[in-house]
Amino acid sequence: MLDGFCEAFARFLGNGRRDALAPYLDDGAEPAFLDVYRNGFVKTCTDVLHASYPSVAQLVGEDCFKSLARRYVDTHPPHSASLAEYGEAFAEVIEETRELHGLAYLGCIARLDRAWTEVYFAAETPHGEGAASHALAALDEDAIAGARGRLAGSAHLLSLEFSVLDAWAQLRSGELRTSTSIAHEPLVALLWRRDEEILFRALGAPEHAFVAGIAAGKTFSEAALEALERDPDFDVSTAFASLLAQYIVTVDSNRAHAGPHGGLP
Amino acid sequence: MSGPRASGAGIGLKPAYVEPALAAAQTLPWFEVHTENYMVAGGPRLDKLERIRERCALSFHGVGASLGGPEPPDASHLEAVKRLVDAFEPALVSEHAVWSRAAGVYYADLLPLPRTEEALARLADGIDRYQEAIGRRILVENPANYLAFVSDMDEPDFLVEAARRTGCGLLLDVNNVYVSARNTGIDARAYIEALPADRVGEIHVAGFESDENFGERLLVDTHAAPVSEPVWELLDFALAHLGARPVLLERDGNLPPFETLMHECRKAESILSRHHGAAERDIA
Repeated sequence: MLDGFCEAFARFLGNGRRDALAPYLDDGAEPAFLDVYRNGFVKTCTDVLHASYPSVAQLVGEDCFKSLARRYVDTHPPHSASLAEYGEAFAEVIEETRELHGLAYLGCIARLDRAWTEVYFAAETPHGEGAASHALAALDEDAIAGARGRLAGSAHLLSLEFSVLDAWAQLRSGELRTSTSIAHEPLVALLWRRDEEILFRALGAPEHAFVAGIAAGKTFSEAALEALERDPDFDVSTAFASLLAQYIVTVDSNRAHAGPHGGLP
Repeated sequence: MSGPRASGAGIGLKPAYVEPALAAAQTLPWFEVHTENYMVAGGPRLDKLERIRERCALSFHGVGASLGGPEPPDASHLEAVKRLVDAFEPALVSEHAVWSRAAGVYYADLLPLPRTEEALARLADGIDRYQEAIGRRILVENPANYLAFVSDMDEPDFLVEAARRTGCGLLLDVNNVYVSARNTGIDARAYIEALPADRVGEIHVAGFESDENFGERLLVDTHAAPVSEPVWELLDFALAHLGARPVLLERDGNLPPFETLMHECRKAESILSRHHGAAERDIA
């Protein structure tokens, strides 16, 4: 009986039809009161999406956001009781339902909101802050070039079709300025966490190649060569120092060894 | 093993209250968090809870284990609870006598169980698995009921028997009893009197709201309003029957300033003070 009850209840939560639950109601029970449970399920999921996608909500307004959230809950119900990271595919659903919002770039805004959540809840970098400089201090120039690093545990690279980073930053801070332009131009954004703050910036093509190379496990020298292929004038040393100073890149001293190139290019 | 004891009145700690709580100069109450909100890999949320834990007793209140569901509680969920319990050593750990998961979908609500022998056996099995997984006794909370389902027994008998079979304690949500009584016609005071005092380890109070379609005919346990006067009176009645217990003020929506909630918490404390003659029992 219990399995049948739960199956009928789950069907009702999905389609709102109460008839399958009629055999399980006590005499005098008001079937319409069942809607509290369905409303509660949808509201909880919608509230979680709203908290995770505040920029999307601000941009489209509450009614439109509820429509998008409802579509998402219907097609992508949660599978885990840990709802902090629910909504993984919301950007895809937004892109598939442009008729609901009319904004070609809304999916990019959603991807940035999602990245913010993933960065916020990411595990700490195993080596901790300061590991990069300490590890490098023990290496000579050749060894640095041959060493490999990794991105900090929270660092997140994101490729976008639209240049929405400025607009998104304004939405996160609560106000979108009318002068902000959004172009259909590819953009790579880097987000990371420092203490309790989520930081972000756009990466140019050479710096993206450098960071992506490090993330892929290439030596610093190999990653630098990939960056220089994009732009021979790219200042590798300055970019490298900046990535280390901001704790975006860490160095695993176990993976450091003398390389063949004699220092960074 | 558990950390500092939860004693007196406490507050449900929403993320919005963490910063004001950490900044508060006054003595803080104990805090209860929804366990699932902390099932994350890392980051500021866990860091801040650690800072709260350094100052106050904590209670972990689960909402997603689906103890009585058609499938056993998810093993990875139980592992995540154990990691948190081991890391934070909460004074109390609790869950609900409900279900919320079927065929791999989590329904994100506290769904009712028919009170049958079969459901009782399933609930007891879920509680056993939970307690075994985390290595601790838990408290199990009575649900808010919006309508009555075909059942073989009253809810107090159902819960007390589940506790007898598993050794768990009970978490009495006084607001849920009040809401259930108004919605389904049960006697709230008789419900509370049917609970053995030595089984109840914690009490919840919260606010309810009338349903937007059915008005006063259907009260919804929203935790989005102040505690109502009838619920405060029922808390007083429950404490007279059970003796002093940790009382937790829940608030999940329409969040007032932290200080407003602290004021409401002091009201719970003042009601508790009338019952200090009855020693506060720690059954967890």
